[in-house]
Amino acid sequence: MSHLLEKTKESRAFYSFLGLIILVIICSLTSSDFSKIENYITIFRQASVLLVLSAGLTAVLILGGIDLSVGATAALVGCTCALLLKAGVPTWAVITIGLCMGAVIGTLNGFLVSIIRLPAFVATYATNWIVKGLAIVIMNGQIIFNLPESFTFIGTGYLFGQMPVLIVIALVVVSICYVLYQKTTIGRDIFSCGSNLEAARYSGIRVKRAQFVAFIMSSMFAGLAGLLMTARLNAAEASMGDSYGLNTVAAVVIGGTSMLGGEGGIIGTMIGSIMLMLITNIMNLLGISSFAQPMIIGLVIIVMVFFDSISRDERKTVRRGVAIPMNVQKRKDDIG
Amino acid sequence: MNKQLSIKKWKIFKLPPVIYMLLCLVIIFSIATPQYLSFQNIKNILMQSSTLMILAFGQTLVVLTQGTDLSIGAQVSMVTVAWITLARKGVPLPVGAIIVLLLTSCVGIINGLLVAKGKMPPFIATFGMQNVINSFTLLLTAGAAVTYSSNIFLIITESSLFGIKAPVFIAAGIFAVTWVILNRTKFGMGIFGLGGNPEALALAGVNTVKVTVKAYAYAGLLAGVAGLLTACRVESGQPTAGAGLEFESIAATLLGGTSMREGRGNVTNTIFGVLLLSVVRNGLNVVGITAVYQSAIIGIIMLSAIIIDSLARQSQERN
Repeated sequence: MSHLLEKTKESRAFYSFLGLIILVIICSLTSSDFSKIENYITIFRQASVLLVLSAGLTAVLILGGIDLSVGATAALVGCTCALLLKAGVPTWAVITIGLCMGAVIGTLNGFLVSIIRLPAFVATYATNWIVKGLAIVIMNGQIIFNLPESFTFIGTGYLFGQMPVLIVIALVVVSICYVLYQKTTIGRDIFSCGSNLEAARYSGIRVKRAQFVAFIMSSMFAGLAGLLMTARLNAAEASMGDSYGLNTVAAVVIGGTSMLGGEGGIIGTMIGSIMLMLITNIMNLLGISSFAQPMIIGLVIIVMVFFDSISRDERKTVRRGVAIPMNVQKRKDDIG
Repeated sequence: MNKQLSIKKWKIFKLPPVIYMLLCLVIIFSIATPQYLSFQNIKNILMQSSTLMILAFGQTLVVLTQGTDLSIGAQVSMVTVAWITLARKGVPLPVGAIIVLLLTSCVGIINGLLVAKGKMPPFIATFGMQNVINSFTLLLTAGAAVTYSSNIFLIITESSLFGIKAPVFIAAGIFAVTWVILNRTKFGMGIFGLGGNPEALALAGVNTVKVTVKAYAYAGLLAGVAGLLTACRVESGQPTAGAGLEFESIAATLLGGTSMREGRGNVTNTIFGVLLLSVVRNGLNVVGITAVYQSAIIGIIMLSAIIIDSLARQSQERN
């Protein structure tokens, strides 16, 4: 029992979860509309898209890299699929094509990072330009709307009467990621590469495979998120990924995944996404101006990650049993 | 055999690959349109790149400390809006300029403290700061652009020597200062040390917190200068004037061969990184490629430049 308690305390997601509970309590006290069940469903639905978008990104961050191209990938996949749907391609084929496109972009990122050995930051920044550029080219400034109902079902439909399909998909994605990151060899490889790339290489871990898998996951789930966005809005345009921007990274990091790699998980990302959407939701309920909203989100990100980093630092000192000088910063490579 | 040839070539020239890439692009563009290499157009490129150049010099320092500053684009927007708003309230322009420069330096100091004292990942700390600043800018004018007219703007942007305008000289001056800081001062040595081996630097008795904070403060200060120049050019305060510049400055720094991990790089090559981006932008416009295709082409050129740079360096290191 005490072992289990220790383990929970060790888990980064645990602290994020505490933060989430505190936030929920504050929100319920400040607004009476907040505690309604419909409002919770709205929050979860909004969080679902963000969650799917950052689910694969979590793997890349655990690996110690970063993927700046997820928003653009979502936009490109969403736009392509909307065009295909308009051309009369059946829904199942469109969804398959969308996921494959994501995988192709992920393969490109993985190739650049693992074979060419570019820093992930600049490689994915460049692919971001290319992918976004392609989206602009194929859309040529237009907006596509009025998509077939069989497709919009994944964004707006309900299963079993009450359960939004969007949330079900998000839960499935979380389960897949959980099993993959925590229970498989490849997941463990990704963690080892993140905590020490050289050590992982020397101990015979297939580093390149781990890198490829992480980047492909990231882009594939970004593609899925693009499909969900398009289905939910029943419309597609080239800039639709922009609004998520770096909030994807923020969601992952708030969830306790380290930007230095080697630590984190999908449960944390789930909590992080819900948290960001919850803050947006309560600000809208309270009628805070849209100009002031980024400030509050920014401050919340800074405060959350600040406490996370401080506690991480203390734990490291204690666990090693020796006091390392506090002004020595362990900042490893591969942020970029 | 082939490999040996390439080693010899690198040893002879010892120039960063980005320069060759830049030359190739200039040649391609000037073949496509003869007026590309006109004095007028070169002046345009230099003028257009001066803001990004100044930002990238600050960013180079931050990147050398294994960091990134994502807030400098937002700082540029804030400076344009805050400076003009102050002027409209009756504060003389020079006084307002000093106030906003102090403001951005303070933002830089906070960034540095969050990273060094708070031990936060620079990416996230400065991203949070970016949101805060953007909000502040929007709240200042309720999201609208503000205008103000003064001769000072024209004097700063239009006065020229040998046909080259003042902002280019300002950028050159800032380059000189940055070069001296990096290569001739203790602070500069600290920055390289922080990038190479922070533990060793700390054990050698250097105050790493101080070095980090100073680097971010310098980036903030330069963002302030870039913001002032932007405001002079557009003669107004635009809440989105600097959006995206933070990533462009990082890209330019990395294109110039500065490394995010090893404390390797220098501010001279950053110039070529910035020029590469500006040359591509300007070239696509001069050649007459429509806006729709531009981002994709910029991305492809950027990617090829980085790949060439990285491969060249790897073959250099292997020998």
